[in-house]
Amino acid sequence: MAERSHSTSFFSGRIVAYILVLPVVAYLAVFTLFPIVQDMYISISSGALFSLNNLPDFSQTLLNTAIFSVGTVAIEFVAGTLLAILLDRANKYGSFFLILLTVPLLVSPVAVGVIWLLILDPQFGPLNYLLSFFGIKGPFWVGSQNTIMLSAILASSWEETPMVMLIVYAALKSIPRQVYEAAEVDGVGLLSLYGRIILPMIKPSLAVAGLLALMISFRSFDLVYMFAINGPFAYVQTLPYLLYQAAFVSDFQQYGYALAIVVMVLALVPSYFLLRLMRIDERLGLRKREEKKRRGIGFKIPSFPSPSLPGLPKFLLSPFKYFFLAIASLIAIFPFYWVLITSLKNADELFPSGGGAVFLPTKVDLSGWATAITDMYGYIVTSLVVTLSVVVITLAFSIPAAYSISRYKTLGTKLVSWNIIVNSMPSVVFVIPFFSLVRSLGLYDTWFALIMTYPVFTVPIVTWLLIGFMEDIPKQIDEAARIDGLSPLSILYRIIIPLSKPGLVASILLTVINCWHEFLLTLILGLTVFSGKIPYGARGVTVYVANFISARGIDWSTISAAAVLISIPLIVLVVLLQRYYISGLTLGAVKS
Amino acid sequence: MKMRQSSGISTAVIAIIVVIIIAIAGIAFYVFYSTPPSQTTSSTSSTSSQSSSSGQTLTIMSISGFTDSFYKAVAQDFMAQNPGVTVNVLSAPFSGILQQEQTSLQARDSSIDIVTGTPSMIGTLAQYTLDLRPYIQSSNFNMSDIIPAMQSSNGNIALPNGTVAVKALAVMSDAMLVYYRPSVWNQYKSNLKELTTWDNFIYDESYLYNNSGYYGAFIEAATAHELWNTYIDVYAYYYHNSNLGPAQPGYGILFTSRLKPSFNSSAGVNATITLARMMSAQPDLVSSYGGFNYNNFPQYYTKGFNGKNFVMAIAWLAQFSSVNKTLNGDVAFTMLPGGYTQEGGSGAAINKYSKNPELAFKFLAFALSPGEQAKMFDVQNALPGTFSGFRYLIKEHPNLASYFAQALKAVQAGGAEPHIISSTWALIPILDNALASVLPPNQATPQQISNVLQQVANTWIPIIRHG
Repeated sequence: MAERSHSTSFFSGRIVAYILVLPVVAYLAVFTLFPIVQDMYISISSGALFSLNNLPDFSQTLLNTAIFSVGTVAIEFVAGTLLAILLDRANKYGSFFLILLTVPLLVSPVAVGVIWLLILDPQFGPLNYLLSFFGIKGPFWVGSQNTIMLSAILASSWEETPMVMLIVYAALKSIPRQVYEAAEVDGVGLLSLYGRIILPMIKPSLAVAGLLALMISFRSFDLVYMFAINGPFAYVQTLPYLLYQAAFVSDFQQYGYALAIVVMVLALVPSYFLLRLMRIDERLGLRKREEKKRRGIGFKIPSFPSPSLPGLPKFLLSPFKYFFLAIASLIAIFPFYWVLITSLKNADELFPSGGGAVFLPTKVDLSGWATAITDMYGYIVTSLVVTLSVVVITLAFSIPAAYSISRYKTLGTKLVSWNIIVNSMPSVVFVIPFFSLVRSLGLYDTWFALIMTYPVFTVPIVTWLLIGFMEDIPKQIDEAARIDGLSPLSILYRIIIPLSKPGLVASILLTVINCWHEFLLTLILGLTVFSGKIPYGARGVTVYVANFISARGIDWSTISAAAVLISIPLIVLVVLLQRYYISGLTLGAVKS
Repeated sequence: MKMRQSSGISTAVIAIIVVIIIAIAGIAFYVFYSTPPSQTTSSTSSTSSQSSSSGQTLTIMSISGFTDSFYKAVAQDFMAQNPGVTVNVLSAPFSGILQQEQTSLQARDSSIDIVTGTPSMIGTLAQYTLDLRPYIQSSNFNMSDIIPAMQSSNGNIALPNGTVAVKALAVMSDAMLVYYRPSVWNQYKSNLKELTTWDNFIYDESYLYNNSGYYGAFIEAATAHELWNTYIDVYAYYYHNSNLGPAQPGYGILFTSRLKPSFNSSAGVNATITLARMMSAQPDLVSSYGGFNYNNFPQYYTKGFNGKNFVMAIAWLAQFSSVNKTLNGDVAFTMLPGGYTQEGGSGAAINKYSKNPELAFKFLAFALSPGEQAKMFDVQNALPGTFSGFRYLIKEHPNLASYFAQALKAVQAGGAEPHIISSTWALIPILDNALASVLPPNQATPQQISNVLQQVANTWIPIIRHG
């Protein structure tokens, strides 16, 4: 009876599955396919796509993009992997160091720009000050054409290394301890252990970490923006920044469309390899897993060859590993400390006569904080409202879609693949069509403009994340509920959602972080600051931080306070919910 | 059976919730679209804004730290004189204002009535702003009160058909010239040459660098914008000493006619070589010039760089008051070598999509009245755009009369006319980056410099033709 009723109900089976996935499909079709088609049409019809060489600095910008991407990925990959290994071996204080080392990831890229402009200030920054103790005269980092790119790479690596570290760390944690014990018994040296056994076992995760790092650095706009407006921009601008300049400053919008196509095509390269690595069809159970590719998931303790590589010095196994972790943690949190004390310094200690850096202010001056808090009210309201709205919309779209894909394999791998491709695209690919759309709808400078466009960057990642969590819920539970007469919607509402709570918390965290940190869209689609008239004033907190330069100089106290102010809520939130955050960040990568 | 019933309810509940959400969204959009934009688009970061339920609203975009305090003060007075009118003053930094104004105007958005900016910004925005000539004629506004050099660089835009439109009014005066510290200058005066040529400037710069314990000069050469200005300063000398002819309205000294650049000439090459010599004269700073910009000039000039202070600087007059205050009066200014100054300042233009163009013009005329112009100095530490504004200030601050007289002379001098047509902002980085490739720390032969300048000219022409 129950079976029959279930099968005849309209809200059952595949129809429901398609209905559940429909909002995401419709939304992504409108907000991702339409912009891409528009980019293509205008860039081809205007001829701009075929005359990009006429765009000043195009070749130099391509070179910059390559240097920036390769440079940041190289540093992040090496540093992130080493830190992950150290963390994995640090049983005692691992969690403590993990929290410290994750801090940079939680700072908005715009605030990272402010922080590193302060650190690298040739006159009053701590880096040159410390170098002077070694008799080294530090360069004018951001001001010099020779060092501005290196400065941007350093800042970006500081921010993104924790992501690589977390992915590799999670993968290392999944390796059975017996592997290490067996290696120790066999007297395998550390270099051999990691070089020949452990790292090869987690090769897929390493590849995913590298590809994600490449995608993130390639789409980097915020940080490059902060450096480009403060130095010889021709030597640091990357393709996303050139697109912004062409479309919204120099009024070469047709070149903006053409650059969007170039950026999109280049972004497809890492996403193609990522898709291959993730083996979505296997993940969704649409194809049987290949045994030979399962390394890293189901481990078999290998028999070790005699160590041919030397063992690492013993100190890596000794308490010195904590020393290295402490140094790394210092590097991770010192820049944040610096911006915090800068926000508290008075003018004399901010710019000591004759130069130099004050590491501990003798007097606390809260005027910067007072100004920032007063000025930021409207920006904070906008960011809060938009963030909360996008969280609701993202969950409303992603939960049903993830359920449908996880349980009914709706649309096969197509939607998931599209999600991952969209997630790899820099937001500049969409920004000009979004601007046209928002303008034609009369929504320019309203909260609606942000609320309707932000989910393009949150729905794909959250859907993918929730699929991962839902896949882990045994299908037998659904079967039992179905036999008991529950409809698919009831199963989702009563069983899947409660069981996916960790995934939902992780999803909310990632969405909040994405929205709170978002810069390009609020810069382009917003004009004014919210002043009490709902829904007008679409400028978010990141714009306030980016707009810190006045004609009379730079108000470092205020801007430092603002950078701290926008970073602290997320740091607190993530420290409290660290477990969910890390699982959210690493799930897709490690499970692949 | 029980389970089935509850599942039916939950489906209904979900359906109702979805319907309610759609209904709320529909109502929100209806309310949004049914509200006239002109009454709802005012939002502000300014402290001067007040709400008005029934009157007209004007919104002005200003540059933070440059003109924002002035417009806020004028807005207060204007609202007091015009009950029912609300004036919102928004502000944005120099690095971001053009994007904000441009994006808003590209969106055909009417929320900003008055856009403001430096000469190159006004030129870039000109395609979206009103020609003010009809408003000037119908209101009998006294254009002759605006300092001509300032108006020509801040508001008179050359149109492709050869005519000149008044696209903005010069609200603030500024000039780029040479700063120096009298205390140091006088100490070494007997060994220094008068700043009549750039060769003399380099001699003095080098002498001070090598003998005084000071850097000779602060030279802004950041490619974000400043190198463009510094190059024009130097180029003016060579331009006027060549047979390239008088500057073209709107096109400045960088062109001899609309599509004929002037800098791809021996004058351009000589100016580049001179600029390279100026930078090389202080070997310590060669790798730092790209970081010397408008924003950090006050900080480095007053606090020093690498433990040393600067004697001279090529800088804007608008920054003089604050620098003078920090240095307790130990700073003075003089013309650029050759007796020129570069026209700067700020203009104000009316958005052609503005719902209140008449009111906007009325506001601009009010902002240019003597008492309001004086506020440019009183609240902004900058200089007025009108003669009557200067006269008012001299009366108001008799102790500063000589400063105002000297400043008025400087802003009237001109000679290094900037380029202010619609495509200016697109042209700036092309020249800046090309120059950076042949200036220290890079090295280039005169032939290489000539080739680079020719390439720039070739790149510029199609942009101007289509711009």
